[in-house]
Amino acid sequence: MSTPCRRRLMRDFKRLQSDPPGGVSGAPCPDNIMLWNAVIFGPADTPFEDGTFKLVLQFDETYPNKPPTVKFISRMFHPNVYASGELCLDILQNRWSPTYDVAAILTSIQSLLHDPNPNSPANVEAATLYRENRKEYVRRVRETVEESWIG
Amino acid sequence: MTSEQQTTPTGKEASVDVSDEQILAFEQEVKDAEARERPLIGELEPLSALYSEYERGSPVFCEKIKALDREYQGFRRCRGDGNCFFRAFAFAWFESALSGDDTTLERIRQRLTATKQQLLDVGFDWVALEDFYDMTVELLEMVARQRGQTLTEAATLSNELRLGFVSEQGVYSNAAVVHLRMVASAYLRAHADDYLPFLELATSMDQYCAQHVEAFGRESEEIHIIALTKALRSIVNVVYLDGSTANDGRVSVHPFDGTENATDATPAITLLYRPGHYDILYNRTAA
Repeated sequence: MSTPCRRRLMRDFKRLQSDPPGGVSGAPCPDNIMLWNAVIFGPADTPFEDGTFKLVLQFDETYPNKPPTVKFISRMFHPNVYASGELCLDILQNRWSPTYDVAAILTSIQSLLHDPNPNSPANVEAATLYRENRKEYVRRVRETVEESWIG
Repeated sequence: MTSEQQTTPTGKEASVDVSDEQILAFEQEVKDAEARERPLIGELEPLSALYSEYERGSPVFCEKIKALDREYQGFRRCRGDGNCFFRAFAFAWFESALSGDDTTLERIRQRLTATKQQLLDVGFDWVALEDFYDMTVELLEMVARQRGQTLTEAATLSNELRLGFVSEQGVYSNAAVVHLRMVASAYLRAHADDYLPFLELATSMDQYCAQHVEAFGRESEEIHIIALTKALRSIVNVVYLDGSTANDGRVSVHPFDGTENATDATPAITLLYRPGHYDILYNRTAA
């Protein structure tokens, strides 16, 4: 059935294919357009470099008036990612605008890898290490990068 | 509350730590609850309907409502989902195109189509915005097609417009809300030097707009009204219904006039403001 939400998701998919932003990719499941798999490649010059981090995006009929639920499947070590893989990112919560499409969501998450916000920690250990022991923080992140190649 | 929490024996200390996520979830729950019981745009109601809500409450409110009842024909409630200012504006603006003369319709159409260039001028990505613009224009054209009919049926036509606003879970009026938010944002970005000094907590206009203007469901403040009326060169009169006893307890009206010269003005829109919320008000003279 074609609903505004589904039509919009088809457009998002076409846009992601025809004009893909660097370092991210995503596609709906073949049998369920409301469920997307995505990959974010760790940005260069960050501890996440070379990582291939997998996520799922779950949409419901309120999209694009409400954001999808976004979750990392790959294990992450990041100040703003919970142990469950859920993210603490303003545009996915109270700063959402329906003008954000899937490409914009994925690039925002990519830039979150670049610029963690240790002031609103979802992972207190990662936030503390990020502030106080950058070397150990990098080491822990590198572990997840290596895991991301296998998982 | 989950069933697990309900069956927990009392006496255990309750956690006082409330996470940001819980606060956000609670705010969302309040908005969702409002959404379930209030349509996006309501029927025209007499102000006496509002009076009964305050009858046992503040006498200041009651006196003010009585005064409003003498001056205004009625009001239309808008859902308090954080978008009420933009949705109320969109509805009242299109309704004035519906009941106004050809010049009014043409001016509103011209103001609306001019917004495309305003958005492009500040560098917005059109691909992300065109759907919302297109649907808003479509909504206005729906209004334009209905105008040929006899205007004695104005109330019926308004009702059809209302259906357009609430149908398909409000897809069209949500698009109009998104579009007008972007228009207000574009105006503020283009005039950042004039307005940034008034925004105490904002570090940059881009940040302020992304967080407070473009974000769907963020409540509007005066700056949103100023930006939108300037961008669309329209007039909004905000009638304040609050507990203030200043001004001898009379209702105060704040005009926001975004026109540059009065000769090409579109009909003024009147909104009823109660702290935190906007509804649409109707003068006695014009329906």
